[in-house]
Amino acid sequence: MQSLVANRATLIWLGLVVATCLSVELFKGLPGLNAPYVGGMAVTAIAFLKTRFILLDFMELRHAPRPMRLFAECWWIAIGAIVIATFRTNFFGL
Amino acid sequence: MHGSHTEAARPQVSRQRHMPGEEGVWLFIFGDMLFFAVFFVTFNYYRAHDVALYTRSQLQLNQALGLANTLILLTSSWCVVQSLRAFRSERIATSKYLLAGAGVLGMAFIVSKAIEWSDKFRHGITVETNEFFMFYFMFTGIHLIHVIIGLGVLAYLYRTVGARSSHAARLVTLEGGAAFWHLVDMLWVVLFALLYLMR
Amino acid sequence: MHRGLKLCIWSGPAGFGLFGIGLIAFAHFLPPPPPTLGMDQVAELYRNNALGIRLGAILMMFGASMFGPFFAATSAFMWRMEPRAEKPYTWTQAMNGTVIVACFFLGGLLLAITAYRPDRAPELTYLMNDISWIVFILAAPPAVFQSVAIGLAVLADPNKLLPRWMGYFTLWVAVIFAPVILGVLFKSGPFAWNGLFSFWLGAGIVGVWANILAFQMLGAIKSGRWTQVLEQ
Repeated sequence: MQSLVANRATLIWLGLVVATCLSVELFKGLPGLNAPYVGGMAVTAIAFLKTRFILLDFMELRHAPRPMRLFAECWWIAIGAIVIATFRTNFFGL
Repeated sequence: MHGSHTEAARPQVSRQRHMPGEEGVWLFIFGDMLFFAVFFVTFNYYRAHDVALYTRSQLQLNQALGLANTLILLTSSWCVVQSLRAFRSERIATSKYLLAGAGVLGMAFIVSKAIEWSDKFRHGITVETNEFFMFYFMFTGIHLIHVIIGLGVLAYLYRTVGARSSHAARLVTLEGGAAFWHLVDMLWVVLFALLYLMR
Repeated sequence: MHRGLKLCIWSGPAGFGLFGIGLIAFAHFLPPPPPTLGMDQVAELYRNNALGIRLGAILMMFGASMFGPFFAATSAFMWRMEPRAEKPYTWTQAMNGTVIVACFFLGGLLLAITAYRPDRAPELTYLMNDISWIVFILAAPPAVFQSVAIGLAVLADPNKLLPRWMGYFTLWVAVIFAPVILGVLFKSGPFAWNGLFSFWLGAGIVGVWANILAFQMLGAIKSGRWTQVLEQ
């Protein structure tokens, strides 16, 4: 009988939950580090990594036609990189 | 018995590329991903003008409720994934229960958002308080509309799962609708990080 | 074949073009005047281009009126797409489409009235300017339900008169239209009436979407699918 609980999707769900809790811990601050934006960058990176697994495993794009998978991978990498690059630095030249 | 047979056949099936749902659904989903990507970048653009205001206002958000929101949606997504698996192995009743579970969690998300918003209003925080709260209310509001549409989609899937049309036709609908619900979850994951945690 | 229907479809892209020429080339309202402009600056804006704004408004009113035939053609198509005899989506589109024509027409009319006596008290010009722009973004709520109706009709069509992806695309367009109305809440930022979400995305996407819809309807006529559906 195929198990409802013990499968890859459950593992990924568990990973996403752990990553979410970790993000909240990072928000509270890292011990011995007085540069909060490092935590901010980590939080953002974790968030976009989470979207990758939702896209590929929950939305089943891992084995989707190549252009669709490519779009998903480009989306999380590109948007994640832009958000991390712009959240603290003077990226916009302001 | 039947299930283990499907499991054995799985590696062969997954080696072929398979489009979940119909093509058009993905036009909507990818379009929405681009739309929200513009949201994220716009937020950072305005944030760069006054980082201190944003980090100060962020502390007024309820991170615990935000965390609860995220866990609710992640679990709801898990229900939909398992529902799709159950449907593929022809366990229709299980599939329906899981969809209903996903729907209940979706409603729980709306309730927790209502609690969060009314708490903000009680403390005199509105869209006009400052730029951060303008983004907070607008982004969470537009996302909430997606949740409500998603609940409609889940209800439609619930009906489709038990419908009389062919298994293949129902599967296509289920895959497309499931992908939309995961989109709602995924966009929230980023919004949670951006609004509540990133500093 | 179907000459009248084709004329009505072409009226859409032509109307958009006319509206755009009036707004941009004559009234010089691209980008729109920011809501943060002071009373005297707004009054000066209208004094400096009173004739251009009125000429532009005439073109905008004609352009808006040309959406009428376009929406009529859209309804004609939807009538054949919808399997249900009561045609609920078709009626929704026709009724909300009428409201949209009214919003764009009235927006143009209000600009014309504002520029009609530019030497009046600046308070009044200031108020009239607010009314004009808010009337334009007022088109958003009916546009949301209009596009939902069109999208659902395309998806409900057993004959696939228009491609199914157009249905999903139109539903996505409804999502883009929704935040446009938020312009009534803000005077600056991306949601204000001159902002990214209230103006640029909404205006840009509506232009692209309406032209795609027009060419798909023309394509359905040209390929003979329309005639086939009529003969059923």
